[in-house]
Amino acid sequence: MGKYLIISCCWFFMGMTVFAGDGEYAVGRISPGMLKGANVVKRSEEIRYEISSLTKARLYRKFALTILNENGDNHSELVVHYDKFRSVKSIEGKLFDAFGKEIKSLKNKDIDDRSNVSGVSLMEDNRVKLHNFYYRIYPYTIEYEVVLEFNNTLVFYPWLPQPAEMFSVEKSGITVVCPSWYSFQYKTFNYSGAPLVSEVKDGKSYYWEVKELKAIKSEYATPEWEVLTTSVFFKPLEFEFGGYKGSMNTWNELGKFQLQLNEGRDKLPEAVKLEVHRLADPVKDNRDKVRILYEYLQKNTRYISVQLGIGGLQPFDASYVAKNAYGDCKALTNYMYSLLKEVNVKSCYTQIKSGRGENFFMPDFPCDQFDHIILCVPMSKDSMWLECTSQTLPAGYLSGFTSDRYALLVDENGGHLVRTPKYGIRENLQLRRVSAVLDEDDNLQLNSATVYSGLQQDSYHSLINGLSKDKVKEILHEQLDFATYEVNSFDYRETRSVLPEVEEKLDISVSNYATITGKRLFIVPNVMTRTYRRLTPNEDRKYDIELGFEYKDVDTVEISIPAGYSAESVPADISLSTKFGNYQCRVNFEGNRIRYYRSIEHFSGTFPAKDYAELVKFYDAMYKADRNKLVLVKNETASKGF
Amino acid sequence: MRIFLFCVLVTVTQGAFAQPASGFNFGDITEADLSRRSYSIDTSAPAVVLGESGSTRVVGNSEGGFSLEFKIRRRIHILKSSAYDKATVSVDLYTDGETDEKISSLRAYTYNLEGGKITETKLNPKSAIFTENISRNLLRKKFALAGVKEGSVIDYEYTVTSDFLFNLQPWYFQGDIPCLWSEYNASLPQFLDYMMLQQGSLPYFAETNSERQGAYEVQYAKEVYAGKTVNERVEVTCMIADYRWVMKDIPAFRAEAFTSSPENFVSKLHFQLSAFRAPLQEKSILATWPEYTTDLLKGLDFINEMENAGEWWPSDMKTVLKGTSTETEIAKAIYNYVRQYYTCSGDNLAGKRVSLKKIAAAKSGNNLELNLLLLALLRYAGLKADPVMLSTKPHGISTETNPVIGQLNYMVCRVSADGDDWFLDASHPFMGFGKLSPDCYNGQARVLNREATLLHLTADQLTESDQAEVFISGAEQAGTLWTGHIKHQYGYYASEKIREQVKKEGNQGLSKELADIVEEDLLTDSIEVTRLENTEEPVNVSYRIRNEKEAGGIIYMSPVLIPHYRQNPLKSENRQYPVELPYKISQLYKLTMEIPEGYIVDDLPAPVLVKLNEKNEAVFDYKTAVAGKVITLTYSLEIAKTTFRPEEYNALRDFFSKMVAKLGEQIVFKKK
Repeated sequence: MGKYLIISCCWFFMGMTVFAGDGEYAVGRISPGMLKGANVVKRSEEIRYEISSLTKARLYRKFALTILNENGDNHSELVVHYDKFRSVKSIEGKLFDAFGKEIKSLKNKDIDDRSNVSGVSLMEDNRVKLHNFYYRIYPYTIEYEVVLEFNNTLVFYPWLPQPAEMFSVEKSGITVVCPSWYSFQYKTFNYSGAPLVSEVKDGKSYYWEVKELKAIKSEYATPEWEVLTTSVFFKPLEFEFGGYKGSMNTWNELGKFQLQLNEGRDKLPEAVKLEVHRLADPVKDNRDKVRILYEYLQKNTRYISVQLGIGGLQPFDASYVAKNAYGDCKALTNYMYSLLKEVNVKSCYTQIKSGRGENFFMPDFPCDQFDHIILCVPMSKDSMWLECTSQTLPAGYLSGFTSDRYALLVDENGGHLVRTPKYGIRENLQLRRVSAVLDEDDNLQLNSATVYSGLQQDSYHSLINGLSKDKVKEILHEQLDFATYEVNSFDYRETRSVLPEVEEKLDISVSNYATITGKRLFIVPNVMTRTYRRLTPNEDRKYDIELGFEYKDVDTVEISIPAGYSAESVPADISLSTKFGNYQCRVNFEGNRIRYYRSIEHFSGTFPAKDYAELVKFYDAMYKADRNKLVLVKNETASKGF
Repeated sequence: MRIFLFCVLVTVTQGAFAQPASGFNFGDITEADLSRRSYSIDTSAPAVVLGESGSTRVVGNSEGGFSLEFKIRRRIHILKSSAYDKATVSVDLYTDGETDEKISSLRAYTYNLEGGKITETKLNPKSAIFTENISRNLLRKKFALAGVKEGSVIDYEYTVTSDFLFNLQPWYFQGDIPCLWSEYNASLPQFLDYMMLQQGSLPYFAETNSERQGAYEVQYAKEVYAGKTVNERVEVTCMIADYRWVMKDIPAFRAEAFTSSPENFVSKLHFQLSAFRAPLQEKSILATWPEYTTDLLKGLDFINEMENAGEWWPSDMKTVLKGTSTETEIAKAIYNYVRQYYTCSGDNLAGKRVSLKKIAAAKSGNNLELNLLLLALLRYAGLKADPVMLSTKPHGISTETNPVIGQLNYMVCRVSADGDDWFLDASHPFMGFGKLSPDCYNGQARVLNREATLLHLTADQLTESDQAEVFISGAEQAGTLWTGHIKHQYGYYASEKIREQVKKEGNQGLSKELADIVEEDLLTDSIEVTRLENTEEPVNVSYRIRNEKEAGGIIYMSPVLIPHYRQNPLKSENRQYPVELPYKISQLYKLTMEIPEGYIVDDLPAPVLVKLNEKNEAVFDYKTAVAGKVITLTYSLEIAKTTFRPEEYNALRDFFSKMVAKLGEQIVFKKK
């Protein structure tokens, strides 16, 4: 580290010696092992979750963090969420200096209370309390004590003592106290041994504890955080939420709870029923019926989140959606379910965790691990999946938002854990043909035709459906990797099907595409598809490598150049074949024509940490190959002509 | 861009403007209206405002005073699902904690064409409005129109009543979708003076005003005897001025890159209450700059507080001031102390500030609080220091003729030391003594003194100068084609980022970045950064480079190893608003290279001089030479001004294009 840190280092070393009279949070009391690679040290944490009945629980949490430097400041804010189902009983906080001397305590009026409603929402009752001491003389320690009360027992907060990288933990423990009749289950990751169980007054107590968790340094493409560090997940077997009772011994039971919430919410107004029959009855094939009614849904509703009270779990009924023509994912899915039911097509309300790359899931631990709802329509062989919040997705296609993961399907018998379809290397394609002409003035006139399919078309789908033509043009003007260029024209065509495609046609003029120096012409034959990924080598790679997204790109390029050049240096053909994927490129120059071919197949999978060096090499080799230049030299005879 | 400002005059040129011949009519929706799928103003627009009108009038209220009544009506044709957000309407209301602005008379309809027939979906105003408490002074009301589909026309109106006479609603003629007709009306009594500010480059289709005799009825509860009141009515007759502004066929607003604040270019109209006149008690609300600064100083109220230094003078000041003697030394010591040891918690000027004592104890505060403490410390140490208010670039340009509430959003400090004036801002931890962020160079700045001294801070006063020198010599070891050394002095503001990065990630972070900056996959090592802690000067970064490629018969080499531009920064092919750079630019690059042993130069980039114009406002000068075994290549880039008119855009883009192409050229060596 540079000299710049001298001042804060002095502070730091002064703190290393513990003097009599130093407080318990004195930085000198932290062992060197805990400081190594850490920005923050959790000095202590005590969590106590007391369940008194199915509708009453209390969560006490006291913790102290020592922030060692400015990179730890993002952990210095206290954030407490609350709503109708959990209320904040008290918040206390204290600030200590490097010697553990208390310098400030929290005043209630310093707590910021804010609405926590997302932008697309019309109304939610989520709120958040925030506090920050904004101190900057490092190291310092903050201590908070928070008490929350719950009027339900549906959701337990998991225990993740080490929430982030470069964060070490001296000690953290959690106690769960419940009446003797109450039962719950837990699942641990990286926790050896069993909890300490003891009898307490009127019940039982369970205790988990960790000590001396060293700071973790995050790495590229690691498995999910929850399995890298110690974590314990809890769930009740019986619970009560908003007046509804349920249990979650099995996925089936959890599904039954949702069934209960959805009961009787499928009544459609007469006018809608008539319309549904008019549209669907003439159609024989069930797939066509589904598609037609899905398009009806897309045309006649829009997504707006309204989450009040139990609305977080229970859908607004079908008549609400029919009347307002809007709803959230639950309401719209339930509405679609009702439309299909009206024409005797069975479908299933399906809970899922949304978001690209949201892979953490515990299939053997039935509990609410979801944040989104989609609809599954079982067919004789496979199923049709519908994302009911989108006005533009084709029927039967789940984008990267919900594909390839576990989901809880709810039918009249309860819940069933299933997996949504995966889009793999055969589906996620980018096939591109470029034909271009380089003129005497070094301008490249190029036409490209590209077909994107599967997950590779997701962003183009949003682009063309979400933005006006002017905006799309603006984005094309910003994002292509040329020094100076104009987009003369562009065109996008969508094929909406279970596996959608977007075809893109671009007509572009690039100024000074090649570099012409005296008698030579330098040109990169790979005009449009370059990889940008380069990884930092790491000899001490610790964790497995997880690569999620499979895809295949193929490019063929033809560039004609001014007459009178011959090749001086032609990049050699490259063919890489690795466990992560295959890459090939080759170029030749003949007549006045450059022909270039490139293909990449990128696989997914989990690979051992020791393979990391090979992955770095693979990406590096592609990065370089994609930028290789062809060097042409002007024929002597041609230049003598002048 | 134009910014006009004028006060409401009671004298009105009667009949100077005739009413416009055509206007937008919120009449019945026709089938033809609903079956339109696009509008010629922008055929791909996801929605178009067919018409909107806002009108504000003053009404007498029952509390013995006056209120503002603002009515808005808007009709939008929703053409694509991507514009569905236009059918969820947010209305922000001001509250002072006791009294809220109120929304009333909400009517909202959605019209659709279904089977050739027009259907109408009405919103039930009772159950439709949701309230969200955003902050202490802000309530947000939201409603979503029902039954919206692609092709729907939505039509809504509501009234906002406000007891806050200072909060006369502004009007944005331009939004993010095109609008065919937008008009604003204001009827203002002669006893209230409002200043009007207009901005944007779009012309009015109609602009009229006229005057008439009018009357207001004010009611209040008069106490007759203890606890018993009767309603009193008072009638005020006076002249009323009626204003009307109309714009037609307004394109959607498009923000462009290299603009200090897009908000400066939106066509809008806003108002500021400036005085009460008879029959009200005559009172100037805000008129002159000296009044503004006096008022603000009074509001900041730190003079009295300063006197009890025992309460807030930090105990570590003794150490801080140790060894200082000149005024400049004292000023620097105090500035560096606050800058380094106090955390800035944000720029927010709203709300009440905390006391100096608390700032000193917490070692944190917002921008204003930290600079107030800095000011108090400087003054207490015997220096002449004043607060200075300005508007930061993202906040928009400020008006010079008169103070406008909320326009100046940022406070810095000006100190005089040994005869020189310096600007200080303690809320940026890496900013040197006498330096302000480029965001502060936004035109007007006002010293909070009795004279309200006017200062101008403009981007043209800043130059970001960057210098790099590269030496390359033959191989020192086997397997290495050549080795070299780069000495790079970053520009001042680029240095600020380096300082932040090194503090965060150490030299490691820098080395990762160099791998991306340096051309040709060179290996870099021995990175040294100097002057990191001397925040008054730019940093120097020096490192060794090594080329380990195999030597063939020919060596191709990119001589500009750290190109500032690989792509043309001006992407768009045309421009509506001026290009505004944060500072002037001065760059110098010099390469000295020994020709590799056994090779000769076969191709050398030709020298070139690129000029933007005859005034030399941007010049790129690229030179190469060979002398014996040594190649030298130098280039300089000088951009001598910071604002370029849209008419200059093509030339400027072309200038960059030529430069970027030149920076990519190569030297070729051939084996002898």
